[in-house]
Amino acid sequence: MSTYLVARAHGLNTRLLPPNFFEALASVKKIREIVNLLSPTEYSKYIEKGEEIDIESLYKVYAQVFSDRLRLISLIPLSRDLAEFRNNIIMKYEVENIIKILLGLKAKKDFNEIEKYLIPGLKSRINYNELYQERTVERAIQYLKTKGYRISEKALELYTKYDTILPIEKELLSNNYKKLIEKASKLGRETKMLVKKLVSIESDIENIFTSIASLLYGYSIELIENLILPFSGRVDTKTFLTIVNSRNPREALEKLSIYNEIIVPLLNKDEFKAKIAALKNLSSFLNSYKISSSMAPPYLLYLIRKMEYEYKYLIYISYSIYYGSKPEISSEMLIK
Amino acid sequence: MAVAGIRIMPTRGFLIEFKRRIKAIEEGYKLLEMKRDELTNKLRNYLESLKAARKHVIETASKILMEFAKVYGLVGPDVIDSLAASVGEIDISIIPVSIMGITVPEVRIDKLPEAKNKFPPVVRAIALTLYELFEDLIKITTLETKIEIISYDLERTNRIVNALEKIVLPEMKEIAKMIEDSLDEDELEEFTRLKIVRDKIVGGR
Repeated sequence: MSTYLVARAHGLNTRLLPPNFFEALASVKKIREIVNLLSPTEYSKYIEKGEEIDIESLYKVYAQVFSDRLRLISLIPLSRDLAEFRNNIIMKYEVENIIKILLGLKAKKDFNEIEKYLIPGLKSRINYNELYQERTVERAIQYLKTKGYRISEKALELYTKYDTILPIEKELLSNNYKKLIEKASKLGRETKMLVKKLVSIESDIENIFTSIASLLYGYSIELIENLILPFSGRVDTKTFLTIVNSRNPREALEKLSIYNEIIVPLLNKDEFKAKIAALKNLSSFLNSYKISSSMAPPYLLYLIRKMEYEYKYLIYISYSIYYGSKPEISSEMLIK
Repeated sequence: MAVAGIRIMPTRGFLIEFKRRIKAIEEGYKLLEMKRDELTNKLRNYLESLKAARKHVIETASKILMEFAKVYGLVGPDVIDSLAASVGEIDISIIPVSIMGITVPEVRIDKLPEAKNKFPPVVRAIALTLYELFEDLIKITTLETKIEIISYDLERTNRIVNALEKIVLPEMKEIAKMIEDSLDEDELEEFTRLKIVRDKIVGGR
């Protein structure tokens, strides 16, 4: 069964945009040119020929294609354990949708303003409109709890105290990772190990950005300590907690030297550069991950992450061009 | 004539009163001149401060906009819009302050919405810079208003000082001189008449 899944995943991989597409994007200056480049691809089925497309519509096109690909994967017939593993990978995007709705509720936006940026068509246990109808973040969280989401009292307390969605966001992400590892462990030791490896690298990257918040921006230590994801990667969780309580940037530099390309710009408050370095780091990891997981269920995790990167990379490039900024397009950011 | 409306009477009493008036106006003119000089200095200082503040704000705002253009797509337009919309309200008080008798506003920020602890990575650096910029923007607005009010008053003061210096005081001094000359002439006439009468009286004995 897992061989069938991996074979289908390899097949789906061929539908993604090739590296030379992104090379061609390097010389693009207008949205129309992006649309022209997309015309021989899967994206063109959502773009009316000859019609001028605005940036919001292009965003919807990207989201729709991503959603179609996830739906294709969700339709693959699998055994129960494999299906649960697959569903938990896709659950990440339901979590992303939920966070967008919570942010929208906090900002008192209309549902149609929020809805246009959600990943559409996800097979979800949440009715997004019902979630929105709760009208406040507190009531929305109670609704989520009735649908099986676990959000601790501590996260709620921090949300109320600091008036920020960050603790809830981190808790949802952390729970998603825990569930993913739990489902992976049912598929064998190798699968569990490979999944934990990816989760821990992704957590490392998140934790780097989180841990320096109190040092650089005066964020509350109590808040930041509770935002550290509890998955140790190349850097131990305890190290991140030490950095949170540190008042010395040198300590962060020393302890996170393995991620030098990220921590150096971060300590210079060049967060954009740090984020790009982080994405390159993740891409590089995923490219090596592809090889180690190529015949195992975690290949699906690799594939879905690659699809996610394509979707978000296209959004980043399109908005950068739209706002007249030259986007960073480099082969290092591509997952091959 | 600047002294229109005053009934000129060529009498010693009127002259004394008129000279007292001229002296009072001269003192007023000196005070207004001092006020004008002080307002000019203040205006010059405010203009220099404004120039520096504007330069800083424009440079910072340009950098922020460039960063924003990069970050908008990376973070997600919906996330940035939601974060921006959920920032709390600002409370300010406008306090009137007197400068050389002119009332100008001073803005006091009573409450800025909390910037820390709110924003996720990448957005937070820009958000915190924007918060600092906001205080500079308040400073610029206050300076511009002060400059406008002071300029208006300076223009008015300048007009009054010039009018006093070039028209009113010279005219009044001229009138005073005329009255004085006229009185002197009358006195001389009277004296000459008396002398002639005395000579006639003495000659007739």
